[in-house]
Amino acid sequence: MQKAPSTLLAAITLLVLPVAVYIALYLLPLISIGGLSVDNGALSTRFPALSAHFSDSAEVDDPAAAALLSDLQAMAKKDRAEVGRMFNQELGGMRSLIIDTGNEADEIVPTVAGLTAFDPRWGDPAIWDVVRRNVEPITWRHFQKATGVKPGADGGYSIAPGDDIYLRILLRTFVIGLQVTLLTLLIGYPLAYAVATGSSRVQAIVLMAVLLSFWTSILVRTTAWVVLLQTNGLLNGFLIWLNLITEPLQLIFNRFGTVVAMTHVLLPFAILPMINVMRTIPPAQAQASRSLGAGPIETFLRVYFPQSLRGVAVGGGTVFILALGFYVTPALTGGPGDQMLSYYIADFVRKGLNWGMASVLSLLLLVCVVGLLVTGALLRRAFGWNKAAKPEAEAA
Amino acid sequence: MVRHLKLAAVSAVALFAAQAAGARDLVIAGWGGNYQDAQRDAYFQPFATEKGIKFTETTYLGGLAEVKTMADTGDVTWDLVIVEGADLQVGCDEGLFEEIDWDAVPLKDQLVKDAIQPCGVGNVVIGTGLAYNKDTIGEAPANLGDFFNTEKWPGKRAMRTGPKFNLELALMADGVKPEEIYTVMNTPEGIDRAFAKLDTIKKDLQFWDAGAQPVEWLAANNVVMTFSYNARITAAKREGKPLEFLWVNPIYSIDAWAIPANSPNKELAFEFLNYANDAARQAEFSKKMPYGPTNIETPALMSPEDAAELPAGKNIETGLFFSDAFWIDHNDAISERWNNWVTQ
Amino acid sequence: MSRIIYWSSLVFAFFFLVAPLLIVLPLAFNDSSFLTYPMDGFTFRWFEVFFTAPPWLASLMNSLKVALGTMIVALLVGGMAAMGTMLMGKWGQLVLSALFVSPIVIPSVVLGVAMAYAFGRMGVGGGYLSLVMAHTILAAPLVFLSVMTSLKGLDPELDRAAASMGASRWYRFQTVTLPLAMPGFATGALFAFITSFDEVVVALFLASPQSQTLPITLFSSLRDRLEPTIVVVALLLSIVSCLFIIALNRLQKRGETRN
Repeated sequence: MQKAPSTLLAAITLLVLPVAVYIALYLLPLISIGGLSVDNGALSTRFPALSAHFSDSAEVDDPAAAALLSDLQAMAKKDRAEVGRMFNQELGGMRSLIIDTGNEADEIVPTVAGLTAFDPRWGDPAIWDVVRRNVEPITWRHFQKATGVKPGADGGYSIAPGDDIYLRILLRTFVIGLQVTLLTLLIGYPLAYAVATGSSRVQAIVLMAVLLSFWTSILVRTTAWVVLLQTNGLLNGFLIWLNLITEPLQLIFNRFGTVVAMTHVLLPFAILPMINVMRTIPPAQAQASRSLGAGPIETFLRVYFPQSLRGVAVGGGTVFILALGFYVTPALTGGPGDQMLSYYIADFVRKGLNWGMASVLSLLLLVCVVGLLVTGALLRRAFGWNKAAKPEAEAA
Repeated sequence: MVRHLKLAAVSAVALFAAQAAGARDLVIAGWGGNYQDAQRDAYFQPFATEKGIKFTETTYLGGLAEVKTMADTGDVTWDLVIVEGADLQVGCDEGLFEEIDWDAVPLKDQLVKDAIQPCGVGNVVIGTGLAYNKDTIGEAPANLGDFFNTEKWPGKRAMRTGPKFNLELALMADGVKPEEIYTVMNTPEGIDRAFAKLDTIKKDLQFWDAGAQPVEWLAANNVVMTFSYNARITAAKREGKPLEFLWVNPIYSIDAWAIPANSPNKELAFEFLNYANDAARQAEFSKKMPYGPTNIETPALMSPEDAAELPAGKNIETGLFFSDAFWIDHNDAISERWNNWVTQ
Repeated sequence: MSRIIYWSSLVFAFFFLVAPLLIVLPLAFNDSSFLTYPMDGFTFRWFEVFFTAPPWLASLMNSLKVALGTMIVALLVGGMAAMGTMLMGKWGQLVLSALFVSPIVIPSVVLGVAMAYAFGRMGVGGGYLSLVMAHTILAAPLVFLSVMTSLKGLDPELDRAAASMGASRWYRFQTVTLPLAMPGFATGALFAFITSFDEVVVALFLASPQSQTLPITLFSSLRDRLEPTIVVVALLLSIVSCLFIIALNRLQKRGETRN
């Protein structure tokens, strides 16, 4: 394709604004997460003397004590409080230690003995360990916390049992994602099949329902489930009215509520790709199979179903990847044991002010999602499914 | 096309310019639910009417994230927020809240000692303890230990998400005296002991986030007992629900009004602090929502029946005053252990 | 036998898909403060609450402002991105498309954290501006996709005809391609509007009380307590979605007849 200079110029002119907007409002924020996950500037810049000391030697000696005290003296009162809070995320009790020491810094003899005399905790090597690790400009503590890997005293690493909480939450996120994916495929398949093969009336009605559901906001559909699943709500009332149960069941704030609501919310994302693939399967094949004597079930299982698998894979993959990042629906319908990684990310920002942990967990989620997308693309290539399913936007 | 784009750009700019100008209403952040309803009726609405101003309400879910962001960006969008003691102290130390000039507060002498904080005015005393449904429970529980007695009272129990309050209540149930609670909790063995006690009922536990949930669960018999806030239970009782709050070893804590640093409506917010601590206004609030007042003259203005429901006097004789200082130091570590314990 | 399996599974699945909203939405008219059936009577009073109680109407106006702002900016950004990308070679198209579409797959919570931090550092704290900026990134990929789709779907014969008459590529683009792609822009604008109007997660990280949008108000009152007003909001939002689908259908029909 030959390109006139004027065309290239036009292309570049058109692209300047969008690319600039994407860089400023999208790429830079995402990159800042990476920086934030290891950034320790808030601490290291406030301990210039101590940071300089520890870059020369790891020794906790009198110069270290003097450097600590001079740094604390130089800080404003509110900075000491902020520094103390950050240390406290590492080791309980450090906040008051830092604040008290800072308030009295003028009076304390600038030696290790002097510090220990002021507060015996300064004699504890564990406290100094935390201080030393956290005055460096770069920190891996958030990564260590997220993975449960702890640096040992001998320089090695170990995973303490029970400390891998975020990995377990990641596992839970995957389990819920899988449960929801399986259910959406089971429930979505007949609907997609009806749209692809049903009479034109059935097609129109089902497709309309799917599209309406697709374009109704996730929050609105979650609202419907919150109302339905209440303990004294509609579903329990209905079951009691049918005499199926006598006491209301706990349907919400548990795994059941989360999975049911998420399945409903994500259903259209499974159905639309399946419809796209099923529409390409020629009905003549099934007719041929039937005319050769195969029963309808056998025909379906041996002729139709294998060809529709590509849609099932695309639909299932879409649902699974979307499910991993879910926040609103589990937050409203799940209990504390059903919250997914996103919940903890939001919690670290909104409650804990811990941007470092939020960034690390965000990176973890991001890596999972991108990894799955890449795997999906490779699988597609391997199976020769290169003709990508149409974007959902088009299906509307 | 270019003409269209220009038009679009101009209108986009105009849209943002419009919001930059003009002073804003007094913005108040509260905990939502009937708690905030009662505050609106007793404080916000009459205050606004008296001053001839408008106010906007918003909900607050605890923590300091919003206030910290306001301080960092300089865009202070709240003028008043009702915070828990621990957040008040941390925020105050970090300069996130306005300091209060107590000499300019005429009501100072009427307030209980713990209400007077460097950056906040304690406004509401909240009782946390055992609640149950008296119609269905059979024999009423007599102490916190009964919460852990699954033989006599089988069934689900509910408590607030997170370790705060629950560890204290578990230790008191295990026989620790209120005055020794925080000495015990300051040792690793004490924390182990609390978790060990909680372990005995772990499979029967259900956790709530919003104060309204335990009330609903009790009323619907979803749970046999719950730890809950006293006023939510009393409010439900007044609506005819057969709920009871047990005034044995309750924990009481104070919520305080604070002003985010550099709020543009700070003068008005300071006036509100005075208004909200007036004995008559507090009586109005406590009648609707039986949390305790911080003004010592308030109970005299209430009927004896209403006053008997408050976390005050006889009700908190066996009570424990919640330690903000302990949780400021230990919340990060214990919360992590709690999350771990819950997910195991 | 196979018919029974097919129809019973279809009916169950269809019921699961449509029943929740169909059952719950009528409760917006229920003359009782409890969200249960049977209905006590027909009333508009919960609508009255919506239009008079302070947070609801204000947040609806905020949502409209943000959605309109997003629509304009995203149309500009996504539209220019699509046109520019179309004029590039094969590899350029591939790389640029990946960039412009990628925000769709990033979990909203991750975008929320990233933007809350970065926008805060830029000094655009909570407010309309930050919401429009964030929603632009969420909506621009949809504008990009719909404009790209309509640009690609154009009959190449028209372009070739213009070329054979000696028109330059840029001139052809301006005079032939672009006017025919207008339905793609209109569809993109609709996508952008509805994306912003329904968005809750990123907004939770960015909004201030003054710019609180309707989905945020709905989200926080769902956590707080269930009152019939939330069903009114759900109903209104569903109506907006229906209007959206109707508009989309119209556009596509017009697009088809024109092409």
